Amino acid sequence: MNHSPTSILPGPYIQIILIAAAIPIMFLLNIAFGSVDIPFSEITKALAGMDVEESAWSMIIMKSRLPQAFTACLAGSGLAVGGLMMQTLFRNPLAGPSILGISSGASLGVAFIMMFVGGIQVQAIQDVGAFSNLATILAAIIGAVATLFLILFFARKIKNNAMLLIIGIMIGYVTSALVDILKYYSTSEYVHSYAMWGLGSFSNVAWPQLEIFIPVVLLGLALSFLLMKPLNILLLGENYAANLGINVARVRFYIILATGLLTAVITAFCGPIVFLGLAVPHITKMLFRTSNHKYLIPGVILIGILLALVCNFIARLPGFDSALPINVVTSIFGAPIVISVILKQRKLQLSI
Amino acid sequence: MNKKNYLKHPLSLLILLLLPLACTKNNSGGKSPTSKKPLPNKETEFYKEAYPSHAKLFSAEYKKDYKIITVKNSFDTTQIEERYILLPKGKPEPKNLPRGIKVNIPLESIGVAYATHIGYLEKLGLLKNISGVSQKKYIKNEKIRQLVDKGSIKTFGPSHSINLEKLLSINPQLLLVAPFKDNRYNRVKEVGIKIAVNASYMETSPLARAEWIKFISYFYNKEKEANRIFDSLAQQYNRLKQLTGQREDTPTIFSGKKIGQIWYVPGGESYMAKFFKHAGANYLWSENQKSGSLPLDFESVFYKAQKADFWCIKENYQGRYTYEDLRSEFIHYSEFEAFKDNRILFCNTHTKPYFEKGVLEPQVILADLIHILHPELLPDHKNKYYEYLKTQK
Repeated sequence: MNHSPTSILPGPYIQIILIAAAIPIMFLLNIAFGSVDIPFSEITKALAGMDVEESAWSMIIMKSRLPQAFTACLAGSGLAVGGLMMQTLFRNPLAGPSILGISSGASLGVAFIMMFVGGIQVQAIQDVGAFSNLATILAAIIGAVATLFLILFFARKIKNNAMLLIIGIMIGYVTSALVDILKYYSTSEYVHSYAMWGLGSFSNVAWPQLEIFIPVVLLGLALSFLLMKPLNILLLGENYAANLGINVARVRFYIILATGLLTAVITAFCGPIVFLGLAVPHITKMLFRTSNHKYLIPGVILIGILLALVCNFIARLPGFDSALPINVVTSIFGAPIVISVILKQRKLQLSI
Repeated sequence: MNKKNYLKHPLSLLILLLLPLACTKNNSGGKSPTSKKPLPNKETEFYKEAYPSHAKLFSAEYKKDYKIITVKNSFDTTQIEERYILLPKGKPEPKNLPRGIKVNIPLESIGVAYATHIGYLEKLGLLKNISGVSQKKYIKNEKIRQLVDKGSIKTFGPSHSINLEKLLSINPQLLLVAPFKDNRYNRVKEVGIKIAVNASYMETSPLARAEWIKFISYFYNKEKEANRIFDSLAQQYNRLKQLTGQREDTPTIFSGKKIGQIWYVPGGESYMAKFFKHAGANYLWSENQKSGSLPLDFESVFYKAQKADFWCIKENYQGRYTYEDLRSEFIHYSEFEAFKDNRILFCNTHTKPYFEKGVLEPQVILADLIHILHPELLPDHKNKYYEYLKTQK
């Protein structure tokens, strides 16, 4: 199964072990630090379910920091896998999970519920609570899934991947234009709420929501593991893959479905998280020096988790009273990586 | 021409100076039918002068036959935002006027870009002077809404992006706006429509915000009314403030909700912080020196406010807002003691004219807060803006 020259090397097991070991440490750091100082002994007590000095501490650790760290893991892994699959499918190093317009679809759903329903005031929806967390999540999922179906529809019609990519980008333009119209006619308080949502956050997911979030992300990740082989063959080019007996159209359908599912649910719960999905596959390829998805898929999952935890940790570094928006941190990490990828163009051509 | 020349004569100045005296005399005996003869120089008479005592962002200076009103830049108070030279209508312009926007007063028509400014005009009995508003949907005032429906008040589109053609067709003598940082009104200025900045919401105390009624009054020679209105509300406010001043038991309070992941907490010198202090509450962030708000995260607010006695929320919500709605926005809101004990003060700005009228009723808002925080002090007060949050739909 050695399809690329670099995978002659033994698998990147050392890297995988090191990263897997770093994750629990980073996870603990995420729990231990935040804007409120909590003594380490109290943290271990709280995690063990024992009584702590101040009841606020146990609430902060168990109900705020812990779900937030889990959310970061889910979002990091899901977006990274989505990004990897998109980069392979479209043979484009700058593709990411948002390339299909799915996260813009989610944004449109949220913009609609926050600004149109909030502003024009539709009584029926108001009664349900237009500003409730649930309404926002539902709107995002509806927007994302609708876009996903649209993309899948085009994926069946259009054989050329580059054309499909352009359609995804076009859908993104249309949705962001619709969002702009909503913004234009909205008052500043609604626009502000929407803008805050757009900055992304891991902190809005509580335990009851994780009960939905975890299985959906796991389903998306499982699907990506099943696609490992076809993804490797796709690297050789579609014609070659077809000659090898791969049903390219069906594979493409499942790749888009898995990515769309992950992007939709992550965007719904965390807002549009940028850059992680684009940057993690590149970091993984650089570290692992392979283009074999057998290693890349577990690799991006682990590095995605680690990077999301690092970003979440930096965003909530002690000393600040408030957390930085997660997208600010991911972009500051993501941009230099994308630049370095462009500078290493030769290597890039090897690995894509 | 003749009239102008005549007025430029040195003697005319003397006459102008003496006329106010004559006018007041005539007014006092104004009930007799003989006093019906026209008083040509009534406009030049500055009835009573009004100066800000609490507000920090505007000042007034009275000259012999004009007024200079200065508005400070709200974002940098060492700078002047704008200076207005108010000239009596129909009189020749005095020479050597200082630099500033010249406005003939009393105004014939005014455009109002923000619904929150309507209250000031209403209180001074000047609703009829409004010729244009931005959008009907944000206005609660019934009279204005009816006049918009009838077409006697026109709309000129959202205040952040005014429809210039509509505004020009209305052609108000002055457009009243809130402080802005960008150059969104440049085009309005270019076409010759004068802009007045009402910076009331940048003031950091309830009385200072109400005092901007004096600013509006300058444009209409209604200083006397403005003084009367402000003095009366300030007196009531201060009386209420004294009621709570001596109290030892000050319940702890915090306010607001998070937007996205940030909880904007009013600073210790802010408008809300002053309300809490004057209502005899111990505001948890009162130590803070800021007059703006502090962007905190949930964790920080929760740690400090978990055990607070009261929680104060103000929100624009259509329908009846309940504890369940609050919990559905973020499940951990229900972990606050104030939530568990049903001690949340709530003002629904969708149904209550908090922004339109509340700014000129700080004494009512204060009484609302006192009635909830110290019920024994004002047992008979009926709450208008703030109430206990409903437990059921």
